[in-house]
Amino acid sequence: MHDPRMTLQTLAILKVLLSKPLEPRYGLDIAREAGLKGGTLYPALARLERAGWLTSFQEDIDEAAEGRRKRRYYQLTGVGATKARQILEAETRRLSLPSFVPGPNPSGAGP
Amino acid sequence: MKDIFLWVVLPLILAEAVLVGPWIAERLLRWGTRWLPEEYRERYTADWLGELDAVPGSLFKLGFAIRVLLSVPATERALTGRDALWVLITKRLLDLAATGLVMAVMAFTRLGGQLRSNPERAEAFEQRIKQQFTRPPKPSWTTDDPEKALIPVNVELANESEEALPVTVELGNKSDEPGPAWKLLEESGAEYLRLDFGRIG
Repeated sequence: MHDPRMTLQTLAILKVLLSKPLEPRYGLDIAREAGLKGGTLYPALARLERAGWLTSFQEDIDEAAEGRRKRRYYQLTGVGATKARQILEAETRRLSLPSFVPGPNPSGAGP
Repeated sequence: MKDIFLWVVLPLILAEAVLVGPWIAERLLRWGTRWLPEEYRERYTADWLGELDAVPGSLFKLGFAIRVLLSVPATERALTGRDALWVLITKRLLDLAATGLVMAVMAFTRLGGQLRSNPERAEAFEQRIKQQFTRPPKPSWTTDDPEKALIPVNVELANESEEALPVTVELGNKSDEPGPAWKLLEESGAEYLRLDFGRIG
């Protein structure tokens, strides 16, 4: 499996997902935190998922009771988390910026 | 007029947009997923509609749908690893249009340079353009200029035994001599003359 093409948007998504790697997030939630518009989010998520860095699932809710339709949640895979951490660290070094890679957060809980 | 638009039409349009915004947004998203590979359509329809419900406000929903719709080619490329045929064709057409535009701009720039350096040619060019894009003067029934009094008229010369002969003659005369229309009429042996003036001017 090839590594996905890295754009600033992809890096921003990885950073958001890596901040709480155990907590699945839905698209707009990721977009808001990463400061992305909807248009750039979904191609990047699709690339990451196709490369095996992300896994996704549709939430199991009663749509009538919740008053909304089901959302798809995304989460880093083990490989994805490792690679994302490496890439973000490499980018941080390359740009000579203070590290913004969050450390592992075992307290991240599921939905 | 401006006030009517500002205080009546614009609020109505906005009110309608607020009312039908979510409906249009949903239609746009459903339509957008039809451009994705078949195996992904159902999933992305459900995903994007689920996300749409999380967007607050009618107009924001519409904006979200438009942004997602614009990202469909990129999403497809991300899913399949290549551009779809319709994307490739569209790109090629846009490339051709852009190339044509650039070439047209270059040609006009060059022509402009030549015309600036040659005033006589510029004047001739201007006249030619004017001739092509200005309508000819309307013919008038009353004029002192005999040249302008010549009006082309479609005529059928015929008698009972022969087929009608359609000709175009000029009505009017430059002098007191019989004009070509009269001579044609005499020589044809026609028994009657049908005039079709059509649309004058």
